[in-house]
Amino acid sequence: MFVELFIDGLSVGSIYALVSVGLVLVFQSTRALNFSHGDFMMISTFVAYALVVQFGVPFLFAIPVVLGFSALLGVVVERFVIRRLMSGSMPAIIMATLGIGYMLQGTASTIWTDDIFAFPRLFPGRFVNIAGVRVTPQSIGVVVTTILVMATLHLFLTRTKLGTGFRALTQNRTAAALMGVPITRMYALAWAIGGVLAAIAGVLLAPTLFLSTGMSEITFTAIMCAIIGGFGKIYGAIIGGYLVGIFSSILPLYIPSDLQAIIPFVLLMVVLFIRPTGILGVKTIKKV
Amino acid sequence: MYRERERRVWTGKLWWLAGVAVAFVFPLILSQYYLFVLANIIIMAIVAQGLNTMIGWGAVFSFGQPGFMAFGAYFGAILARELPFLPFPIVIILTAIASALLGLLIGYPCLRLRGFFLAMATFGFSSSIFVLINFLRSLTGGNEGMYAPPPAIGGISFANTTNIFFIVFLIGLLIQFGVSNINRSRTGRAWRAIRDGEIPAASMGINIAKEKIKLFILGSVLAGVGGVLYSYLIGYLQSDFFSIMGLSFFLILVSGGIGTVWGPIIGSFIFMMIPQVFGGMFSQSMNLVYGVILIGFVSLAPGGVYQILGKLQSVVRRGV
Amino acid sequence: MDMQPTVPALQLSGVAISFGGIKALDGISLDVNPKEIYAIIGPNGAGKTTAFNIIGGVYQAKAGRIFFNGADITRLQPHAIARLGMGRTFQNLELFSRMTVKENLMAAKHIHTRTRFWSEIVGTRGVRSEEEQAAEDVQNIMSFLDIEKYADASVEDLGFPVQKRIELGRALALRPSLILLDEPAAGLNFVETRDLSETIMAIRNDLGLTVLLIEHDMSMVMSISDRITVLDHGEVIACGAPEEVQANPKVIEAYLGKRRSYAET
Repeated sequence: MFVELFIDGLSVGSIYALVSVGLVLVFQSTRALNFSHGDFMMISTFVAYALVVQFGVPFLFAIPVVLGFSALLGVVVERFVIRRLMSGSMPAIIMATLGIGYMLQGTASTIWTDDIFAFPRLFPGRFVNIAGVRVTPQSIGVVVTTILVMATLHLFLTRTKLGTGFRALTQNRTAAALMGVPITRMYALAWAIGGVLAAIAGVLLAPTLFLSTGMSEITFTAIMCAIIGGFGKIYGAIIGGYLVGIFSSILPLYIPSDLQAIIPFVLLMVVLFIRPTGILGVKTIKKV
Repeated sequence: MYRERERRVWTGKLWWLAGVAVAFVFPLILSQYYLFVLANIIIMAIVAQGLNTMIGWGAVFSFGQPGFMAFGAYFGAILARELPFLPFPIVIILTAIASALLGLLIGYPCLRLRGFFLAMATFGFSSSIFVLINFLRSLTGGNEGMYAPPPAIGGISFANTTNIFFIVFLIGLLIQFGVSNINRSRTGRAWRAIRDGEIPAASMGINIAKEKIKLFILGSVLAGVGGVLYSYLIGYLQSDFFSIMGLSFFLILVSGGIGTVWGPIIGSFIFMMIPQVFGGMFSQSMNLVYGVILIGFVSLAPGGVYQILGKLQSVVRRGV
Repeated sequence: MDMQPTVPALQLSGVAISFGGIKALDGISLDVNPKEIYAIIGPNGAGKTTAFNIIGGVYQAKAGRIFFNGADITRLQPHAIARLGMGRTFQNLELFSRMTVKENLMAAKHIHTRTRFWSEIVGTRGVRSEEEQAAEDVQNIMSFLDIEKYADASVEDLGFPVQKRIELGRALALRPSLILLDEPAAGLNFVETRDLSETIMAIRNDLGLTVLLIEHDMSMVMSISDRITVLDHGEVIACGAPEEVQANPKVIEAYLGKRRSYAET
C-alpha cells in the first residue's frame, strides 16, 4: 500500500512540479506571481477536451494545437496586461492576475458550464503488476513525461543561447539588457513556456481528477510548492512539487482524510519554520 | 484658531449623527428585498474595510478575510445556540474578542513573513478554517451546514430584515467612524509609513512588528464582526458561502479605491450591484464580468471609483 | 569611577560584518564626541553605508560593540535605536512617497505621542491636543528648513533637492541628539550644497545635535567637519582633523590620489 501511494505521490508531484516551475519561470522574468496560472491550465485542458472529445481530433494532433494555444495565451496576457503593470506595485500585479483568472474561469463556464467532465487517458490500460506493486500506466506515463519535459527545459536553459540569455535576465535585468539580451522577447518567452507547462500538467491531471472549472485551484498549492522549494528557484519548485505530492498521497494513511486538503499548507509552515527561505532559497538583503 | 478647530470637530460629529438618522429613512423607501441587499453590501464593506487597512495602509497582503469571516459567523452562531440567554451585543463583542485572539495567534507566526509568503500563509490558514469547519461535524453540521440563531435579547428575537438592517447599519457606521479616526491619527500614519517603506519607518522609531500585528488584529476583528452579522442576515451557515468569497474582497477594494476610507463601501456597492445588472443575461459568465472589471480598474483607474469621483469633483469646481 | 570627562555620543569598537564571505567591515572603531560634526569618507564600496546601517540597527554586527551616549545598542532593533534619539537620512531617498510632506514629518513624531489605540478610535480631546502639539513642532522644523510651502504637497510631486530637505526634516522631527546623514550633498548643485553646509552647521550650533555624515563632496567635508575617518575596503585607514587626513599619505594613495582631479572640480 505504502509503495503504491508513493508512486501515486510521484505522479501527483509531477503535476505540481510542472505547474510550479511554470509559475517560477514567469516570476523570474517579469516579477509577477501569476495567480491565474491554474486557470491557464484549466482552460487549456478544456480546449484539449473540445478538440479530442467534442470534435474527435486524435490526441496526437490535438496536443500541438493545445500547447500552441496555451503559449499564445501566455504571450497575450504578458503583452497586454502584465507589461503595463510591471513597474507598478505588487498588489496591482496580484490583483491583475487574479482578474485574468476570473476572466478565464468565466470564459470556461460560459462555454462548457461548471459541470464535471471525464477526460480520456493519454496512457490507457488497467493496473500493471511490477514486482508485486500495482501501478497504472497513467502514473508511469505522467512521471516519465514530466521527466522528459524537465530535461528538455534544463537543456534549453543551459545549452542554448536563448536559455542562457534568459538565465542572465533573471540574475540581473539591467546587465542583461546592456549585454544585448532582448528583454521584452524574454518576458513573452517565459509566459509562453509557463503556459505550455500548465497545459501539459492539465492534460496529464484531468484523466485522474476529472475536468472542471474548479481545477484552477491548483494555483495555490503550486505556489506553496514553489515557496517550499525556495521561491524563485526552478529546481526548488521541482523539489517542492514532489515533496507536496508525496506527502499528500502518503499522509492520508495516518490522518483523517478530511484533513488531506491542508497537508501542503502544514508542510509549508514546517519548512518555513525550519528554513525561512525555503529549501534552496537564499536570503536577500534589502539595500537602503 | 482653536475655536475654529473645535467647531470643525463638532460639525464632523454632527455628520455622523445625521448618518444614524439616515438609517431610519431606508426602511421607509426600500422594499424588504433591497434592505436585505443593502445590509449585505454593508457587511461586505465591513470585511473589505479590514482588508483595506491591511493592504491599503499597511502592505500586509492577506488572503485570510474569508476564513476569518467564517470563523466569526460560526463562533457567533454556536455561542448564541449554546448560550441562548446572551444578548446579541454581547455575542458580537465576544466574537470580536475571539477574532482578535485568532488574529494574534495566526498573525504572530505569519507576520515574520513578507509579500507572497505572507499572502500564502494567510491563505493556508484561511483554507484550514474551512477544512476544520467541515471536520468538526458535531459542532458545525459539517457540509450540510447549520442553522444560525437570529439576534436576540432575553428571548426577544429581532429576526426580520428591517431589524437586522438597523443592527448592521449602526455597527457599520460605528466601524466607519472608528476607522476614519484611526486613519487620521498616529497609528494610521505609522501604518502608511510602513506601507511606503519598512526600513525608513523603523528608523523613525516605529515598531514594525507591533504595528503590523495591530493591523492584522484589526483586519481579523472586522472580518469576524462581518461574519456574525452575515449569520444574522442569512440565518443559515455553510462553509462554502465563505470559501467562494475568496477573491470578492479584492474586487471590492480595487473598484472602490484601495487605501481610502470610503473605498470599501463604494466597492461593495459596485460588487453587489454587478449581479443585479448583469445577472439575467450573463449569469453563466459572472466571473468573466468580474475579471474584466478587476483588470479594467487595475490598469486604467488604479485609484478606483473614489479617485474618479475626486477627479470629477475637482473638474466641476474648476468649471464653476 | 568614570575617568572620562564626557561620554562619547557614539562609539564603535571593532565592528565587523560580512556578506556572503566578503568582509564589508573589518573591525572598525571610532568615537564621536557630543556636538561634533564628524565625517566618514572613503572610495565607493569602502563600507560607509554599511557602517550607517549597522549603527542604525538595520544590519546586525558580526563582531564588536556600538555605544550610543554610553548605552550599548549593538543588538537593538532600528526602532529602539531611533527612540533613544538617533535620526538618519538615506543614500537613495527613502521618503514615505504616498504621503504629504507634513505627514512624512508627523510620522517621525510617532515616538513623541503616546495616545492609546482606543482613544484614537473615538477621537478624544487628548488625541487632538497631542496631534496639535506634534503639528506645531513639525511646523517649526518645516520653517527651519524652509519647506513650509510644500506642507500639503505629496512628496512624489516635488523636486529632488526639496525631497532631500524633507528627508532631513523627517529625521529632525524625531528630535534626535545624533543625526546620521548619508551623502546629503549628492545630486545637489553648488548653491544648494552651500546652503546645505549652512544648514548642517545650524543643526549643530543652534539645535545642539551631533552630526555624523558620509559625503563625497570633499570641499564640503573639509570645510564643515571637526574630524574625519577614512574607510577603505572595510578598514579605518586614517582618522583626525581635516588637515591631518588630507596630509596622510595612505589617504592620498587610497582615495584622494586617484580622485584628486575629480575632487577639485
